[in-house]
Amino acid sequence: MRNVIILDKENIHFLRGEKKQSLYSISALHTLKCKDAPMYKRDGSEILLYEDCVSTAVKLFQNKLGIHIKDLQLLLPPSITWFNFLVVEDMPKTQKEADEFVLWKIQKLLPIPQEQVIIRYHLLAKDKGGTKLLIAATFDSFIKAIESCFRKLGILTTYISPPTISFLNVFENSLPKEGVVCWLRETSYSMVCFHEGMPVVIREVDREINLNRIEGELFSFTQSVRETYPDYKEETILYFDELQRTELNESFSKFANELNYKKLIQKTDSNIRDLPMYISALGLLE
Amino acid sequence: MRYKINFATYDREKVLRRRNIKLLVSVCILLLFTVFLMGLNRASTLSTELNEIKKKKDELTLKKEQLLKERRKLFSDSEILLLEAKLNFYKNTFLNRLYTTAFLNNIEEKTASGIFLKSVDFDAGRKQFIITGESLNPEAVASYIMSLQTINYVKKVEITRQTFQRLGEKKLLVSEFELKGEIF
Repeated sequence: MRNVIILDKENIHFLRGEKKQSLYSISALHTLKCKDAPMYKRDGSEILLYEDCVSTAVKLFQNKLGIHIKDLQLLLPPSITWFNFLVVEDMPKTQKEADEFVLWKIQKLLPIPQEQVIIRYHLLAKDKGGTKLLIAATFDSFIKAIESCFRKLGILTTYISPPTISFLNVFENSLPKEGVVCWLRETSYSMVCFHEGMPVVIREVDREINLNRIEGELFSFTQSVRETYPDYKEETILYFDELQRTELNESFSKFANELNYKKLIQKTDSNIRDLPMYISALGLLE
Repeated sequence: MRYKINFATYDREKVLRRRNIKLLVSVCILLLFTVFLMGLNRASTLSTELNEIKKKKDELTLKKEQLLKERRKLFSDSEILLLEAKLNFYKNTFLNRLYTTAFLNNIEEKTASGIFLKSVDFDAGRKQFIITGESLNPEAVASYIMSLQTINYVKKVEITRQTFQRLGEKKLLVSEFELKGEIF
């Protein structure tokens, strides 16, 4: 059994994935809350996890279902991960040296103090031009706090991923070669720019997008991309709104296409409620 | 392309390796424990068997002492010694007679017509014999010795004495001999 937990600002959402005859059935239990208290809080250059709230919510969830979770995959809250893209000529061969090398290369670009950062990278391509890396960085103390909190409950956190990465994995077959993908959430949004078939800029914004100014936001984003990649040609704009707002469709439909999540239903239990709200969690289930 | 960014510090391979080692150690401990239990069981069985043997030995010792006591009521120790000596004597005599009879039968078989035996002295206790006799043909003595050696319990036969005499008008050459042999 694979269990997925989405750690949101105010509560944690559970998605339970269960393999049945090679299909995944998913049930969402987003109604569980811990006295409406937040799960984490930004405090200066740190992020604090309210372990008591998380523990209480997890125990409640387990008691309600009568199960004991052994290991889980977890999605980080949005906008606490920073992304960078790097092209290097040669990568050190050992993992430790490679980690140190990548950190040294990007440390000046990170908004997190070096002693508090944890980085992970994904190899995008390797050719004559060098090795292209997608780098993600977040707060080391926050990751350790999450792991420690779940370990105390007897749960192993085997996978902790940024939500935007998971979102891209959900729609891996629909992503453009040249263009922008927008993921619009209730209180935040993400924009990912693709160039030559690879993501080159990922921006996670921790505020609600103004639907009237959405065109302007996109323009400003693509302009900043062109500064770094002058040969970038915007061909496609794709979007996904977790609230499925109709007014957004009206304003967006002139120049953008909506990512169709209905194809994904066949991978899930058809009775799932509010699937768009948990769309990123599906990226963990495969 | 699926993007893999995992911040978890959990190392699945390391955990699996640790789990395998733990499993191996557990299996070894279980095996040792089983061997220990089997050993303990075997030791317990052997101990029971040993006790039974000791018990039987004690019973037999007790029985022997009782029999000795009963025997002492009938015969004294000196009488027993005398009886044992007599028994040995009769046993040896009987065996000596038996061996002597068998030996004489064999000697009779092996003695050819040209050999005249004068005496046969067989001592079964010392495992030796002495034969004296006469022969008109000296070569017959040698073949007689060889014939005696074919008896399966005769170890060796050697000639200890041989003299020649001319007798009568025709002055025949008579050989007088003495043979000494050993048996197994």
